[in-house]
Formats: sequence, structure tokens, C-alpha cells
Amino acid sequence: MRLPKLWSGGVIGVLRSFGALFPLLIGRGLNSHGVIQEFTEDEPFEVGFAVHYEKHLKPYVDEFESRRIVALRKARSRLFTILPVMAVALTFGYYALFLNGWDEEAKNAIFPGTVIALVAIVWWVNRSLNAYQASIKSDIFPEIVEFLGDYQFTADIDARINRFKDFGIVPSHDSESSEDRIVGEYKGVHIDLFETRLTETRGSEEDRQTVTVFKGVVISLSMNKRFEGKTIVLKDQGRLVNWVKDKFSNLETVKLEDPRFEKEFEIYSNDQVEARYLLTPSFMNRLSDLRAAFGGKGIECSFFQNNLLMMISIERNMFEPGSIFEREDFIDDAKSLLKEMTTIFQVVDTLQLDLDVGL
Amino acid sequence: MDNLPWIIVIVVLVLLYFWYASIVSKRNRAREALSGIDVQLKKRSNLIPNILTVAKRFMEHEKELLTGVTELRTHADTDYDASDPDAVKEHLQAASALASGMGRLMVAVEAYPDLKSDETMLQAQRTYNEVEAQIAAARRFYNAAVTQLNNSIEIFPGSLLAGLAKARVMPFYEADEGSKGPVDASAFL
Repeated sequence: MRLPKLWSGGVIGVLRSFGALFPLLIGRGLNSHGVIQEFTEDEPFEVGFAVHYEKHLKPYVDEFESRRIVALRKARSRLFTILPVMAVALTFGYYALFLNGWDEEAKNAIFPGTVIALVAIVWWVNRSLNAYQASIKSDIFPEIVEFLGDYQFTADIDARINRFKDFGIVPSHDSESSEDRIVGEYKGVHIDLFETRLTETRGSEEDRQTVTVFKGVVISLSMNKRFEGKTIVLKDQGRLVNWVKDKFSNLETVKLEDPRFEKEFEIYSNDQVEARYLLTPSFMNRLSDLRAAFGGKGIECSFFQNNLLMMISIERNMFEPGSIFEREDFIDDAKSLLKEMTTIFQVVDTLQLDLDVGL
Repeated sequence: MDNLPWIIVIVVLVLLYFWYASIVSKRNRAREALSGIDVQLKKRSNLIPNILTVAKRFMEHEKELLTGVTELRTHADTDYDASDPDAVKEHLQAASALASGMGRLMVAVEAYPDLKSDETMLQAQRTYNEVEAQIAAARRFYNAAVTQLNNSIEIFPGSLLAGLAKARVMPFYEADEGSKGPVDASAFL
């Protein structure tokens, strides 16, 4: 076990969590000040939401505001309970270590022990806050999403990614953590999306590391074209890696005419004609534009079984409630969620998946 | 060192063999792509009589156009030698001419509101558009395969080996500028 790395990683994680608890220490957000604001429609995608907010969300504001205060007080109480205990324990522990001349074995036990204890404290203190945030997602988000149409929002979901294994773009992984699934229809295109984080343990026995192989959104979209084979579009990873992939894959490399597209992606298919049927010049252009819209990060997709599966790498956590330290009125939550859903809808609009090709 | 000349000869022969095999492979791929186009062209050809039957009911004054399309279809369906570049070129030009004729027919349909809204015609147009999209994809694959074949033949020593591999420079399937204008069917007959 590499102690320095564990130590540094653990400390960084704990410091971040403690940083997040600082507002709790100073009692921020414990008072409900001011009147509830009205929802102002600032963006085109918010048009009409003010009425929806008045009818479906505003009635719950007081109830959730009370819950928020209760959650904050509980967390604060736990924090003030455990802090003195921890301070005393740490003082005694490190004093004993000092008296023993910073013995190596003792150090190897106390340092990770300290990190584990701090992690446990943060987890325990945050429990009520996490439970409150989870209730926003389970009770309020579906109400927000309902404004967009017949959509279902589920915060806690089982592992789903292996259902898409046959699409050929799911990276190898040991562990999956998925959440926030949204299912519905947009302009006739069936959408099924969820957030996921895939990790893999790599390295030898002495040097094991958990690496995130994918973090972002997985979107399954119904296609407006019928096809029978499989065509996958991967990030271009350089000539050598592409050559190796080509040799060990049962799919052929497809070379297309768009130089920008060819530079950004590598295409593999078991049907050269069908690959070109799906990846028309205009579609290629739109997929390149979509990649740019997501900040040039990884977009990979696969056409298989009459569906388009897209895996879009996104660093930030989408579909999350706003700050628990602000007065609860669901306005920030709604604006954020609507904006993120609009980003997803842009995928359909940009790729023109709703276009009727007469099938 | 005495064997060095023999080693060089063997290496050259091996390289020539691989080049020859590559040309054969590319030739076969181009023929496969051409066959793929023909499959889609056949589908389109089979759709046309249905479209013409429906159109005839409404477009009584467009007999010349309808007859022209029928003749273009007949010509496009003619068998040809896939290994003869000139025959392939003529075949692809006939296909382009038919596409052009059908394009003019579809434009003419717009002038007949009853025909334009006829459900059978709408369905036929949708299916036709779908087949055209398939033809476009097949054409792109064919052109890519022909590019690789022509490059391998035209770059030395491919030009020396092409005869041995029975491979010839093949024509591209291009959008014919001339076919966008009025087409005289009799010029192809």
C-alpha cells in the first residue's frame, strides 16, 4: 500500500468535505429570510414554467423549507458534538506518537486511521443533508420534469450500463455508480438517459489504483432510420491505437470524406454502405458541432438495434439540487434542471433525429 | 554475402506479390461496392412503375415526361459487364439520368394538389426518398473503393501488375451536371 498517496488522497477528500461544512459551522442558511420570489422566465426554455411553478411547486415550498432547516440543525448539532471528541482523540493520539518518537508502525496505523475517522465524521454529519437533497430529487424533480412533457425522473437507479454492452462503446470497468434516469419522448424521439461513473481497478497487488474510465451521461435515442448492422463512432486516439483496434475488432474501419470528422473520430462498422447511410455528410457535421458544444470532450456513439447510444463525458454532476444553505424555493433547482434537459434536447435537435425520412 | 542478391530478389518478389494481392483485393472491393449500388438501383427501379401508375391517373398532360421516365428506367435496367470500365461508366450515367428524370417528375407532382396529397403517392415518395438515401450511401462507398483501386493501379509498380490482376481504372459515380438539365431519352437508346 502506498501510504503517501492514500494519505494525500484521503486528506484532499476530507479537506474538501470539511470545506463544504464550513458554512454549517458558521450557521449559514439556518434562518428563512424574505418572501418567496416569483419564478421569472429568463430563458426561452423557461417560457410557461412560471404558471407550472405556481401550481405544482410553490405549494411545497414551506414544507421543504422547514425540512431544510431541520436537516441543517441536525447536521450542525452532530458537528458540534463530534468536533470536541475528535479534537481530544487526535490530541491524545498524536501526543502518544510523539512520545514514542514517531514510531514507523504507529505512524502507519494512525495516519490512515485519522483519515478514516475524518471521513466517517463527514459522512455522519452529512447524513441529514444528503437525505434532504435526496428528497428534493425524488419529490420535486419529477414535478419540474413534468413541465417538459411525459417524462419520468428517477434519482436512485440500479446499475444499467451493461444492458448496452453489445453496442460496443461501453468501456471495460469493475464498478458502476449510476443515478438520475430520465425517460420520455422529445419530438417523437424516445429518450432514455442516466448519469454514470465507471471505474476500474488497475495495477499490481502493491500498487492498485482505482481509475475513472468514464464519467458523464449515457443517452439512448430511437432512430428515425432503420438499419440492421452495427456502426460505432469512437474518439480518434491516434494511428497506433486505431490500427490495433482495427486489427482486433470484428468491425471494419470506415473512412469517410469529412476531414474534420475523420480527425476527431474513428468509425467502425460491419456494413460499409450502412455506415455511410447513417453518417451522412450533414450528420457528421452536426456530430462535430455537438462535440464542440460539449467543450470538445469525449463523445462516442453507437448505432445498433435501431437505436443510437451516446456516451458524453461530462465532469460536473448533472441534475443536482441547489445549495442547501440557500432558502428553499425550488427556483434555482428548476432553472438548473430545465437548462440541463435543454442541453440534452439539443442533442436531438442538432442531430435532427426527429426528421421524418419516410420510413 | 554470396546469397545477398538472391535475398534481394526474394524480397522484391515478395513485395510485388503483396502489391499484386492488394490490387486484387481492391478490385474485388470495388466490384462489391458496385454490386451494392446495383442492389439499391434495382429497388428504385421496382418502385418506379407504382409511382408512374399513380401519377398517370392525375397527370394526363405529362405523357412525355412519364414516357421519358419509363424509357430511362428500361435503359438503366440493361445488363452490363461489371469488369469493363466503359460499360460501368455508361451504366452509372444511365442511373444518374433516371434519377434526374424522377427528380423532374417529383417536381411536376407538386403542380397537382390532388396527386400531391394522395396517400399512395405520399407513401411511394417516402419509400423512394429512403431508397435514394441508400443509393447515396452505396455511391459513397463505391467512390471510396474506386479511389483506393485507382490509386493502387496508377502508382508504380501497380501499373505493371494491374494487367496481371485483371484490374483497370474504374469510373467514379458522380453527380452528372449534364443530367440536371433536360434529358433526351432517345440519346441513350
